[in-house]
Amino acid sequence: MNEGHSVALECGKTVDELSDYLAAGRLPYDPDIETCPECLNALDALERVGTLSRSLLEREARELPPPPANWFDRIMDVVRSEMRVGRSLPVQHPDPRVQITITEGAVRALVRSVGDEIDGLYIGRVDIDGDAEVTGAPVEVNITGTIRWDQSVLDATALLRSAVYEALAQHTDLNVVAVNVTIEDVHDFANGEDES
Amino acid sequence: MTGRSGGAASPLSGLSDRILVERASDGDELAFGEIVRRHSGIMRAYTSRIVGSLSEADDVVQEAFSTAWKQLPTLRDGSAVKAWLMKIASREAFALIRRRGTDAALDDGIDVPARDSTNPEAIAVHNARLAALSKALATLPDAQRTSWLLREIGGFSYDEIAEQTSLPVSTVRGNLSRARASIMIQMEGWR
Amino acid sequence: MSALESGRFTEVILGVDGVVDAFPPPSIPRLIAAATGDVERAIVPTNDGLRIDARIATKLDGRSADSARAVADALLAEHPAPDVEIRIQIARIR
Repeated sequence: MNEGHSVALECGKTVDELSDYLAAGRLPYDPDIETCPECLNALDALERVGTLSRSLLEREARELPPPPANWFDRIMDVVRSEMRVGRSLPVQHPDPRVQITITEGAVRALVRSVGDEIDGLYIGRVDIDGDAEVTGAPVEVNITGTIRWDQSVLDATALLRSAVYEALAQHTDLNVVAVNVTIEDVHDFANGEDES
Repeated sequence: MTGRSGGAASPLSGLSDRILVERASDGDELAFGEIVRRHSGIMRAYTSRIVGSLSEADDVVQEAFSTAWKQLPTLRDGSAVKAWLMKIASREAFALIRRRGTDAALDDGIDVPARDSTNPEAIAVHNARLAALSKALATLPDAQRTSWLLREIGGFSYDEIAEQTSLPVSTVRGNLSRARASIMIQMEGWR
Repeated sequence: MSALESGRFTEVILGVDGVVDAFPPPSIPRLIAAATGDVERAIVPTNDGLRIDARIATKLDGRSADSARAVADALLAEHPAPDVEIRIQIARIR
């Protein structure tokens, strides 16, 4: 069947088949396998090797010598040079000789910093939905975040919403008609805590 | 912390992959820095076994993270970022192997010292098994080891492995089957 | 453009309340800007007149849009001409 000559047990099942069966969570239940002692032994052995191999890599991951001194910094250099600027959002000025914009990246970063100020909240994604490049076009700001376990989701979202409205009014000319917040996750550290 | 780059753990280390990916997708470099810290270890360990040396692995993983930063906004499910990063690292690793002009990837048997623990005997047994697995992997022919790593660690499908290694799927299946059998025999005295 | 004019340009921009930084504008290749030793310079004569590009950072506890408008006003005052074109981009708030 296979060009590569699969290794087979005496009962006829191949190591390949058993491995796939294991990977599928042993579903759907295969009575030929599950009632065959040789197959069951092989499945156990495969399972032990599987756990071990993940363990091997995880241990190596912890215990490898660290990469060269500039390794991390060079990655961050690339990051910094590829700034996510996004769209250019208009800021109004009466003189026709003048064109002012604010980058979407700057606005997102603004919303993030405003959100991070709220105790227990950490902002994820900030989306400005709408024709933001058109002066005065209505936009909705959609924000995701994670909240510390001991904080009230309702209180934090209400605070965030009003803080975002205020910040965008203070810094931009965006016509924000809605700020939608989705708390996706719960975490268990306090913002601004020192590194342990 | 040995094996980690970028210094001590930050408060971001308590956050899920998902929220960090969302944040980094939007442009937050600190969030991306935490993703790098968190996953670079396993990427380095995995990549080393494909390309054969840690220093080349470090180049590959560095390149992989640059690619990851640029492509991060395309990742729909942030919680799957580890597998996603492993795939990028894998592609870069194979690109390196192709550039080297030979398919032979030598495993120089990375030396991993055992850790001290409060339960030395259990740890010693575990370490011995890890060492045995490491040795078993090293004895495999390159094609088998690579297929095994890509499947068991990388989680790639047979088709994806075939694509990466430029081999027919049936050959990949055969390599995998023999690799699994070899490892099981060496590890478990099976058969 | 002389260093004096470019220095003045930066001075005018940074003199506006709420502006904390000025960057090389995206429209001028960095290489050229670096080669002229004049990284903030962004005053380009075009066929239609003068075009001024400024990229700024504003402060978090200020009003960025207002600051940018004030920068435009300050630059207009420095270069009053019917055919001048002034482009300002707020790239960062901190």
